Amino acid sequence: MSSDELDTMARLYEAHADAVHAYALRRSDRETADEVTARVFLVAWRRRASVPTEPLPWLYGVARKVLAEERRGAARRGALRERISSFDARRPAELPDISDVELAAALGRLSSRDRETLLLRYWEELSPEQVAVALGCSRATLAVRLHRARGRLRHALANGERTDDTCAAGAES
Amino acid sequence: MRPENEIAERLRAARPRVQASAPPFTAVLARVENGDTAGPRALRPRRLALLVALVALAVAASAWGASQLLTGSIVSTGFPPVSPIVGAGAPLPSSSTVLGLRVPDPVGGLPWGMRVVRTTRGEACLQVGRVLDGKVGVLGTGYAFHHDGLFHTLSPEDALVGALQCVHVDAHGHVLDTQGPLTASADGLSLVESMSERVHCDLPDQHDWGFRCPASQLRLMAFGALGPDAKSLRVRFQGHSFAVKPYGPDGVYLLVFKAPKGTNVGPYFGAPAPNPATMTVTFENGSSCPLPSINDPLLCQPEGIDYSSGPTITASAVASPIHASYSTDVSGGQPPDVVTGPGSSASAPARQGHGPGLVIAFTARVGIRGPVSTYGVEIHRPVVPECFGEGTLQANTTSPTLSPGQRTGFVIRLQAACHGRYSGRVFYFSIKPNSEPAGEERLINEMSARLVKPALHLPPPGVTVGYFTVEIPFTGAHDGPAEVSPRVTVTSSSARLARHQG
Repeated sequence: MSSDELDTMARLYEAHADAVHAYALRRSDRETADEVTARVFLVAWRRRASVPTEPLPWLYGVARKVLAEERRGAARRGALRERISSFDARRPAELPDISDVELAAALGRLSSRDRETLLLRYWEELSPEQVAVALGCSRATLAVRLHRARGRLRHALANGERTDDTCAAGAES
Repeated sequence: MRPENEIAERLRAARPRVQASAPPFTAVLARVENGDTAGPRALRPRRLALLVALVALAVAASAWGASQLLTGSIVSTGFPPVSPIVGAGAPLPSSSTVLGLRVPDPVGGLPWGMRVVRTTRGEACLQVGRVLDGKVGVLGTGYAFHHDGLFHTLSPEDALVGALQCVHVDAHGHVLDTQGPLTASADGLSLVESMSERVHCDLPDQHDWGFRCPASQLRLMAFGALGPDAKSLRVRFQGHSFAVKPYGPDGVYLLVFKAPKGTNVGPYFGAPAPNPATMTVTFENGSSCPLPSINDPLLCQPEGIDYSSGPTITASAVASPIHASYSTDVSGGQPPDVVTGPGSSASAPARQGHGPGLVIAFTARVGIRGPVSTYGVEIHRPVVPECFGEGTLQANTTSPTLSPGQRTGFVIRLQAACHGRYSGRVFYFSIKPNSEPAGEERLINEMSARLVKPALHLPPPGVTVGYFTVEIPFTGAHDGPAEVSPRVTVTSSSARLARHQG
């Protein structure tokens, strides 16, 4: 590793490691987030010639895939345990743990693609262009998907609220 | 607040607050120096070979592949059946034939082909895939279809899923659409919206991390339809330059290259290609446009394409008496927007079951033929403290196809406490078609912006069909924060609509 390469890598890490770590931490535990962060930058190192000039969306895209690989590994390791426990298989592994339980449930009803589109946009606060880079699609495609993901989440929230209403005494309908 | 803003704010509010503290850089550095590649498999460098292929020729499918590949199950879209009167519509049988255009794959196997699927609602969708026995489909390679190695036929309906490869046709039925250059999987799956999640080139004993497909299983592709007056397409890529003659009356083109070194594909259709090819189309009159700027009217005026929207619809053409009535027992689908303050609106919480509502009926004197026009309604009611929002409601149809003279309308659920005099306006609203991705989003968004942003002083949307006033009685106790709930479009085919909306 040349000193220039080392400097470049160090600057990249200094600038974005915490953002990548936060991304992973919002979707996993700290131990996993640490591993994901390290692996993302190992990928960045190996592919240093193709890291774009605006690297953060690209890093999120790598992090998303590394995280998925981590989950698959964890799922394989825990397969037996899951079979004999009351594990709720309908709950997506990447479902975030958030206090807004209705929103969490609604997010859980979305496809992973819709969910990630929304979370990159509103949790990681990426611009639509950056989300498109992270997800590997065109901006026009992203615009359509973002619009539809919002609609599906709205619909999922409405369904959830209906369920709650049914249980609430005195509610309309 | 608009529904999308409400969703955005709720998501932002729920964003977990985390104390990010990445591992020290030295820890990563140590792994680099130990040769940790962060994954079990590194993409092998491959020579950047461009095999090109292309064409403008109608060549018969290569005999080698056709005789050796067995046909597997037909691809299932996994989506509800398309409707001929809703959304992008349903494919016209006359447009389901695969074009004679065949493009050899640069690595081998079945050739590539395409068809232009036209729909009952005036849209056209490009469908590209491998071709076997005159059918277009995808290959069961990698994890796709459990690596069965079979050819899986695509139906014309697959081209409509997501409508990302669909555009509005012009005033004469011509198609203008350009896709790519983009990275696609060699099995063709990444070109199918409903199947893109299954793009997975790795074999079972390999890992899938990071990028999903090695370059050997990827292609760089571009395809589109340039209209009847496109004369040639000049392509420059990796130091090569050549011209393609557009094929057939729609002026279609299909380019398939080996993927350049370093290419990867994401799980979604339309992954932008690195170092993409540059293309320029030349028309019969000598004018030319760079792709994809052909979709930008400021940069390109494609010859032979006419997006004029036809004769202007006047108030006298759409005027019709509005019949508005109160009903104690209605039910419906999605809620309308409710204005909650200056420049903002929110979608009222939907409620199930039956309840009091407002029924608005009228005759659609001007028909609705596609997702570029619709009827809508705006309603004003007195401000009642127990009611959600400030008093303006907006509902719009899902713009189903309507024949001139057909009865149609809206049903809007009301909260019992929201009584008083309701007044409103039914209007006809349309947008100018263009080559944007098809569907109703643009139509609905443009209409909604006019209704929910009075602070912008935008004129009210559409051409007025008629006005109405109706007295809503006070029926009892305050019953929760919701003002309104689902709407249902009432037409003579309401049963079908309900099914598709449901």
